[in-house]
Amino acid sequence: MAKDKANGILIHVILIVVAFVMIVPFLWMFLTAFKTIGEATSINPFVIFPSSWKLDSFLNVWKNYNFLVLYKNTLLMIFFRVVCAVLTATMAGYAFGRMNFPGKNIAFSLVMIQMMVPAQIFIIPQYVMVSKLGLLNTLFALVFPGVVTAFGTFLLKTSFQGLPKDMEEAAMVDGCNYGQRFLLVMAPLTRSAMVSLGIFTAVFAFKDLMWPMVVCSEASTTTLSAALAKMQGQFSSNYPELMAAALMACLPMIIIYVIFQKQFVEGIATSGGKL
Amino acid sequence: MPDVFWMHSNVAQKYMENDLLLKLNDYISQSEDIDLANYYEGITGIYQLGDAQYAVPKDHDTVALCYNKAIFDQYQVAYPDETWTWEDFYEAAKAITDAGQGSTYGYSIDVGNNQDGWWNIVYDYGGYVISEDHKTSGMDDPKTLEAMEFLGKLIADTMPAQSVISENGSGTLFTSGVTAMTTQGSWNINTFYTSDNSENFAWSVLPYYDQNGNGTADPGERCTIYNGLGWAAAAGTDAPDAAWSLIEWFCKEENQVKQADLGVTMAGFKGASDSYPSAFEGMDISAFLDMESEGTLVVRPCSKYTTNWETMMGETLVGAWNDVSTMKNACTKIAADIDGASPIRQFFSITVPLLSPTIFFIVQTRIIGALQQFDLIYMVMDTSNPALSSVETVVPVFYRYAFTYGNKGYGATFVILLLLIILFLTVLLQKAEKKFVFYN
Repeated sequence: MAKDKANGILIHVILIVVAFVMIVPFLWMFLTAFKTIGEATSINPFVIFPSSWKLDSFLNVWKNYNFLVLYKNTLLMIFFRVVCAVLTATMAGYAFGRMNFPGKNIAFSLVMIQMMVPAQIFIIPQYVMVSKLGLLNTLFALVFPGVVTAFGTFLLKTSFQGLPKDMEEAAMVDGCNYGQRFLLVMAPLTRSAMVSLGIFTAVFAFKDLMWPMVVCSEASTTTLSAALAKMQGQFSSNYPELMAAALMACLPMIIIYVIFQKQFVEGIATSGGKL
Repeated sequence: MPDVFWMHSNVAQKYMENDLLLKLNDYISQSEDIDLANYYEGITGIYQLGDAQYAVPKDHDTVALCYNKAIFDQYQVAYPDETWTWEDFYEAAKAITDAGQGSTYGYSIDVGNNQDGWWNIVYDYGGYVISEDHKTSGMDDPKTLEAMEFLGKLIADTMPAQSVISENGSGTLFTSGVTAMTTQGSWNINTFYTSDNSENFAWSVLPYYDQNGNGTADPGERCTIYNGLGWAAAAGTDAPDAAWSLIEWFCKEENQVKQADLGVTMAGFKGASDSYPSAFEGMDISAFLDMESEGTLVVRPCSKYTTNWETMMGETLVGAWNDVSTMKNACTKIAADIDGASPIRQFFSITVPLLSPTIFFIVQTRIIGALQQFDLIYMVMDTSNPALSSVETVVPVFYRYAFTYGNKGYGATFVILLLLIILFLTVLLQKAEKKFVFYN
């Protein structure tokens, strides 16, 4: 019993230390946002807390940048990417996992190849497509590369394959056609995979930096991450304002995380990915 | 999970430790019909964890010796009786095997006959399979080894080849008249009762081993391994009171007596099985009850991982069964495998190999992810930073040429290069996977 207790304490100490290491950057961002420039760049390492909790940095950033537009752009991009990705991946996953058609294996190898190739390969062709269509600096440009997802197709295909055949056969006996079997029986059973994929897509869309910078260079159409990258150049010495902007940029994701905490954890557990 | 179900000693420990079963203590203490003292202690104990009671015994079983009178008559060997020691058993079985000249044998068991076979001998010799605290193995105990040596003698001198036994099963060999004796549990009585030549079959108590040499079977010298199911309820049931009242009904004395009376099985309630033999008209199976009055009940060895070590035990013993000279080595190995290793060794020899597919997956995705790193370097390293050229990786360079300088062709070359590097690494990682990753 005593040994168990000692082990428990040891494990907790290790976990607390690791948790502290994880949270320090976030705390640093939070505290710096309230500091003055002098405090933020002080050589004295013991200036941890700001001398007064001023909101000046936040107000300056809010005044100089149209954060409402940035929030709107980011959330719309996340929303459309999630809807499109889940929709297309579920349908394609069902087709690959549950139907037989000529050329299925070749088509699926193409999907797999796309998964193996680094995503940056596609950026130039995608940029050229969007720019030739004259759609630079639009919401469509932001959503465009996320409409289909090879990873999601693969995830949903595995999920459909994992379902017992009996259910679909039972539905077939009851007279369901392909569409009914998919919509009413099979798709609802892959809900957890859909939720995982949705969360993955949302997080990746939120973090995506290069694509918004490439296609939406105007301040009115870009996303939080790209706008933040731009500020980094302008505020290179003004850490408090940069951190205030970063903190504000984090907010939507933190709120989404708080709401969907359970699904986040399950999503990581089911698909083994790192967000 | 259903609300009410049978629990088995193979898995009880696991279910109890994970709080999947309804704790019955309060119900039992308030019940008029159920008093745990009336049930077999060993079986009650199987379903206990600490102070908590998770099931009420449903039934119990014992093991007895079945013999074929026709074969004994043919070779003029005396029938088994309660005076037999295991040595007498060996002599009789050997006499039949020798006279049978390859067509008839004295006895047969295979590695799978645990409860109804060699475990009984181990306990008769004073050995044990699993310690009473369910934590260590007694397979390397000197007394166990003595019993196993004796078993080796039985295998070598009185049984058909193991390949024959494992193909046919010791029960079928007996009913088809190839072997003269078989040790069987009460759960199998019906197989022999309904057999075509059942009129030749008779039951006797198991032989004993005279540990102290006084010529009589003392307590602990004639053991029968016993086991029993328990009635349990799910911890998450919506109707715990109703679940309990069903368990209570099944387990109260009146219905336990009825269970034995109808010949279903012997009761978990002590003394409720007296009418059980009368359910088998024309065959005297009272030996199973005599095993209790004249022998010692030993509860079936079990632990949290019963099925795991039982499977391992069977697999390890196959070698010893085929070549009895390796019996001692096999037993010592089983003990070492069950007792296992220090936590550190367990971690490196069991946990890490089992996790290796996951570890490898993470290593692979992290390596490829690191090669594609962009935002960290782009955000932290300002273009005017003199250290930029020393820390830049492929993707930021690609971005700089393709979009900052607008030279898309030159930039694209970098990502093609990245593709080639990743392809090369993937091939290497696939080779490494074959070598380091353990797939069950």
